[in-house]
Amino acid sequence: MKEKIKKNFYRKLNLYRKIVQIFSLAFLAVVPLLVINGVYSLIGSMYSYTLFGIDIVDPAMAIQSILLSREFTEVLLIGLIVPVLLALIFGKVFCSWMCPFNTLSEYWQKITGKIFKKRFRKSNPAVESNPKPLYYWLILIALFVLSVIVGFPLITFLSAPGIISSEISHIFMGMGFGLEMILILSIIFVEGLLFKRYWCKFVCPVGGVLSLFRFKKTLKVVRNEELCNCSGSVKPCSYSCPLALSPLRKNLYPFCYNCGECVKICEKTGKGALTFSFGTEGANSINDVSYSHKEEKEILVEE
Amino acid sequence: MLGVLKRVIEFFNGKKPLRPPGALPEEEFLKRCIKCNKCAQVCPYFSIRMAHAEWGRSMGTPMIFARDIPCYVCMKCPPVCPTGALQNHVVEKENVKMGIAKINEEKCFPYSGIICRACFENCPVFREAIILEDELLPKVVEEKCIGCGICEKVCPVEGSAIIVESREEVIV
Repeated sequence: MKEKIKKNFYRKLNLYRKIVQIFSLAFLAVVPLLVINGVYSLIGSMYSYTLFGIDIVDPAMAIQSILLSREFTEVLLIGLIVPVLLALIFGKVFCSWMCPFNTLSEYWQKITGKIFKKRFRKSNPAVESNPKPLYYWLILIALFVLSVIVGFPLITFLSAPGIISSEISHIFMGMGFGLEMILILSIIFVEGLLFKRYWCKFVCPVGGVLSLFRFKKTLKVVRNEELCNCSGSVKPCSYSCPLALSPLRKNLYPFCYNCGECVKICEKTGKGALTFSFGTEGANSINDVSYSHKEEKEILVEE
Repeated sequence: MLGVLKRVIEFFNGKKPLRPPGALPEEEFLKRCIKCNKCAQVCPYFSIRMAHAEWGRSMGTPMIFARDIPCYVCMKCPPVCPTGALQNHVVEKENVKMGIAKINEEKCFPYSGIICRACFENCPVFREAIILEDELLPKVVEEKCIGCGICEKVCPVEGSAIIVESREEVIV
């Protein structure tokens, strides 16, 4: 009974995620449409929003701006509160729930996955290990150092959600279409064909900065080894991961954006070895699940 | 290479853009601007246009093309800037310095004997930035001119006899 509730929970969580993704895509168009009609309570792009007087600034942009200008502005610091708190509690959920780049590439990957079925299975690295976090941090640091040396906001040009959202705003406000949007769309297109997500996994400074805000109790995917017993070379969890990571292996941390696809599939096909958890592994929920499994076995034996 | 690009752009649109009111000096402005679009969205006259990739380093930054739509100095954009690229404290139009209007006396109607007071009457710093010499000839007072570009827009001469020169040239 308890397991059934949990099953529904993760499936529902993923449903909510998809709804939020669609809504945040639509939101990008809603903002300029409202602005055209003279409503100025929602303004901005994914670089920085002002929603009913509350400022939200992308932490990557804020850090870049502070590094380049060596000055703090009030709006900038207030704007950091919401995204930093969100990242501290739930991890990089901005990427998995809101980022338009991720939404577009996830859906495009699903389409290409259906078209090139064989290749998809072949290139999905169920056996490969996760990339090393060192590269991730090195690229992130290099980008910031470079932008400080050149004295030029490089990070802004590499923020895919920012570019997509501001280009959508440009289109609705009659400012036309820029080359930068075509570049971002072609990145999505090529990555979908190759089944690799290099941008999100290595380049994107937005996700990189968000993954800096983390402490012991940040939400993460947790694995209970006792329950993990899928056989075969293709594991459902790594197969379902949009970033092609393997939750079974280490170095999940800076890359995983807590989308919950692996948790969902584990509940569905496996025994619920993967769960979301605040803090470390010995969470109650995992014990509950294992207990119910034991009960089931006992019942089977009795029969 | 960027220089070539700049010349190409100038050749094709022949416009020199202004920065929105309250903008920092060009280098500093480019360092701070995060291209969030808020200034363009909050502008009720759609004066502020965001530059695209053809503007090179200035891609995504706000620009005003005075001959298309000038800045009507409503001063809504400086307070919304999250990084202070448009200085948030600039809220009075008298403190704005976007550029300086220059009159081309060869083209200007009053200088060739036709009565015209378009720029004088539309100037937002009325009777201070543009004055009439002998009640006839318009003159720009450089200390008072804020460079909004309204005069450039309303000038009836083809190609405009009064042109606002940006305080600093936009970096491409």
